[in-house]
Amino acid sequence: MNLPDFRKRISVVSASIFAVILLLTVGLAVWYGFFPTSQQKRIDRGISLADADPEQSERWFRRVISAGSQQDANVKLTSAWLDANRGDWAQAELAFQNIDPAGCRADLLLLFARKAIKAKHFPVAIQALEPMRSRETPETNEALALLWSAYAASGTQDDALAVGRELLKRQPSNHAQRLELIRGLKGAYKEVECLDEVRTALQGELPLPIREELDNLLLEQLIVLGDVPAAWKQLAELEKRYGPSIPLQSKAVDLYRAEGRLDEAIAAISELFPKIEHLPVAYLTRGVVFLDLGRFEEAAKDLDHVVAADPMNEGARFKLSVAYQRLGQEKLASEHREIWAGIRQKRMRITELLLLQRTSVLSKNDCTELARLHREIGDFDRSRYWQQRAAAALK
Amino acid sequence: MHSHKSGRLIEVLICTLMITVLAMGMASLTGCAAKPSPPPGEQTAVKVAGKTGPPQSMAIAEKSLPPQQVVAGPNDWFEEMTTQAGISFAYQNGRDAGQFLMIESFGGGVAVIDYDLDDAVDLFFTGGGTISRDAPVQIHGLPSALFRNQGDWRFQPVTTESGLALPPDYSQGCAVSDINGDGFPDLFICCYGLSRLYTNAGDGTFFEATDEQQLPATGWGTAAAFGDWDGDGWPDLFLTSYTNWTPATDVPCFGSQHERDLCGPTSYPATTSHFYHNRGDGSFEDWSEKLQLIDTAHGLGVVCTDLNRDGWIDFYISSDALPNHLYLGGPGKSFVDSAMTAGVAVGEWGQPEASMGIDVADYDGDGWPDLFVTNFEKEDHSLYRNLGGGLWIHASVATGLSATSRRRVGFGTSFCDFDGDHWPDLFVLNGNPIYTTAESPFAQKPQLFRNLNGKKFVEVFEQGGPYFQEAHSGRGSAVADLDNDGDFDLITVLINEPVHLQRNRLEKRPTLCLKLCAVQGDRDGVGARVSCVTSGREWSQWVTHGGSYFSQSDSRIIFPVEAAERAVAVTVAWTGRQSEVFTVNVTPDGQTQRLIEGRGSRQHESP
Repeated sequence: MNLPDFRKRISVVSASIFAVILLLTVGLAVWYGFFPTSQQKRIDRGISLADADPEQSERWFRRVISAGSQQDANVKLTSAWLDANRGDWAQAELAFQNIDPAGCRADLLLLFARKAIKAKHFPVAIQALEPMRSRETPETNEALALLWSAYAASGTQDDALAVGRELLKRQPSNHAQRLELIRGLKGAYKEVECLDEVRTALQGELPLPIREELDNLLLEQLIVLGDVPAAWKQLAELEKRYGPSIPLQSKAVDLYRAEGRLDEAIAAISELFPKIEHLPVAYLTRGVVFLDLGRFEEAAKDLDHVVAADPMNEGARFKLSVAYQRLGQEKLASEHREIWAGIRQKRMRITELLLLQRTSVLSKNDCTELARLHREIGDFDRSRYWQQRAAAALK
Repeated sequence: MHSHKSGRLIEVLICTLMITVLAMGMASLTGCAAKPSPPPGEQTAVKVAGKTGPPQSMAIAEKSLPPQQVVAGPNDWFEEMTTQAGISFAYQNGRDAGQFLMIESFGGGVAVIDYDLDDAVDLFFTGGGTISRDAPVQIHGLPSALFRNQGDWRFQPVTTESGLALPPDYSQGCAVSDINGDGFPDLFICCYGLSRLYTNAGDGTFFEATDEQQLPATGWGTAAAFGDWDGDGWPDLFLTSYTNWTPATDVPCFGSQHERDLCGPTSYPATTSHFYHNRGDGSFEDWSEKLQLIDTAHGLGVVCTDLNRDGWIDFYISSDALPNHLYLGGPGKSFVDSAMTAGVAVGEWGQPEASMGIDVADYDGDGWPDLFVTNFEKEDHSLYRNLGGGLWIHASVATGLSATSRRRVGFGTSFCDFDGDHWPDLFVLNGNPIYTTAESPFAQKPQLFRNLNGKKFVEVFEQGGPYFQEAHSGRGSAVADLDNDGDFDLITVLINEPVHLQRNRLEKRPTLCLKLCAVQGDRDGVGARVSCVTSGREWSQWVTHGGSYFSQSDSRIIFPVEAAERAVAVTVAWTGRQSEVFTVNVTPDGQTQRLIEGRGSRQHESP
């Protein structure tokens, strides 16, 4: 064998060996890619398939359990997720109580929390998400957003707002989240902070619809907090920027009332009235100004209209009882007063029950009572929500 | 040789390539590869240093300036006189212990009392108390203080000489009445523990008249007012309470950043007030049960006068975050709450408000006593206009008072003609009961509203003087003509800050300064309506006890009169007795004139 032949043979052998090894390597990579042997990879696969292919996801998580140690926090969490996935929330929650979330992967906690929130099991979702507030991971922002929604849904407003503020500090240019926080502050009657946040938000670049909403909210907050001169200024500015509108005219009535300029208030609502007379609020606004003016008969007529359309309108009931009393119609006054007192009592009971959530988880009975109370005061959306909570508590 | 070397080189290269490929494969299998980038939505997850801390509006308000540093302007209504008057006293709430107890929220009061009957009204202040830093929490009272008015804006501290140096329990409100009819006004101090009655011996000293047999007022007494409920001629005592709280039942409360703070009213259940019947021998009997005083309240204020002009005294009680109560008196009447039907229980829209201070005056000149109540932040102060017939209507909107108080918490208040135009103006002392976590600051500026001919109120704090430009932790307040110049001056009690005296700078003008001396009923004539015709119309004022917040104002009545008037006919409608007309001479120095029951000319007046 001469040298060129030998070289040729060597190169053929080498190329063949290389090709075989390459094929083997690629094959192995493909194999392990689809069927990884490491726990972390199995969890990755389970998480990545959870939304698109829950069955496959479940298979991967079963492999995690069978291959892993029962003491491993991630294995335990995977097991709790599987319980939750088949709807056994009692078992899932029990399993979760034995897990130290600090030892769990952030993405796995997030997956579990998402499922809990979807099933309205907010307390366990909160338990899963809370430890992530102090961990800096790529999932932290999403975890905070979920935690915010979980607290808000479970009625613990202060905690929800605290998380909202935290998230906004991390994402100060997220307008949607700032708007959400502002709405939350408004809902929690944190009027001053709401006003401050609105002012901060308006200093930045905003999409037009958000800017318009915040501009109007600024006006509303100035009225709520009694800064009447600033509110008049903002009203003029809004009319200039967006043109006159019914809501702005309505705010002018509020401002005239706030200043005790009742003749101007009645003139303003009278001008506006034909445009909005299909709405009970038109009658309410006019009826209240009539009452301020001591025009009790006209007030009673308007307020009767309001309670006919909205029988559980607490404020209108109260004002109507006042109007009838001033007209000397004590029987009617007393009837409306009793209905008002009933609504008032129910609202107070609702507040009392919601406050319980600060210290304990609401029982099935509490949720059922909240559903009933909301139904009785005509708040059917919230009634449905509490019915669902009661049903979830049953399971 | 060269060929051999080339073959080895190729083998080495092949091996290196294989090892590299294998290493890459292993790396991908063991997860050691570089982490993938976060999804787009998460790429903004960079910690950005943002604005921290509470919003500006929640920050602690500006610090008060020392009283003497700012001089009143030529048009200011009031000027600071505390230092000149020699009054140096501060109510202490025990905040320094850092226990954040419920009791710290409420502060103290002032009583205007002419204890030595020299016609120069003196000032009594409750002292508050201390709270221990260590567990179990101990609450102790601090001494109150009495200052004798020596005239010409000089006050002498006489606490020790008058026998008041011994501290009562942790004190809050105070009240004044001649409980034994000896002509000398006696003192009552509302305490957490045992509320105390101090009888005026008439020689410049007081002696503590309370043991549990004489006045079984234990618990948490907040505000008090005396009035003769049963018409037996002896002033009875109405004592409000906030809750049945003890340090052991204290609930920790936190702000939104989990910082410890004082609790709001919803943390504790309301409790009943107490009514103590004056037996006429210096002792009192608890008639609360007998007279069915069963309504619960977070009681912080009580005023006593004849609110419906039926000849019987009434009590109106302000309650924190619960409906206020109105008890209308009558022969043999028990305590039936009429507030809801009368229209004085709740706010404009029917919502219970966090009510604190109260005062009574005929703000619109229609001859009926109206009620003014100070409320919490985000609520309007409530002005209830008396329509007669036992009905009131919420009039804050109609008078321009709506929206003036929503970033403040009102405590002490006085409905008083400060500018000498007959129409009662309004003073409101503000401060937040919560240290740092409420929406408005702990220290707040006071407010002053001028009454425009009984139709509107306009805020005139710019004209109030330097005191009105400063923020304070205001609580109790009272008005009194401290210098007998025919106008009412202001006394304010703050938490952990010195009390303040403000001189009314109204130019001296002809006035009638009247003090009622009842003979048949209780000597102070509480509930009596005093009216006169001057400046072209009839004006009415009422003798009230209690009112404002934890305080008692000067019980004298001042009417401005026309310069040309030499004598004015003053009608006094004594509660439950015939009205009398007194012809009162206008004296150049505006000295206090006593209207003694029976010395006027009798007239019948329908209620």
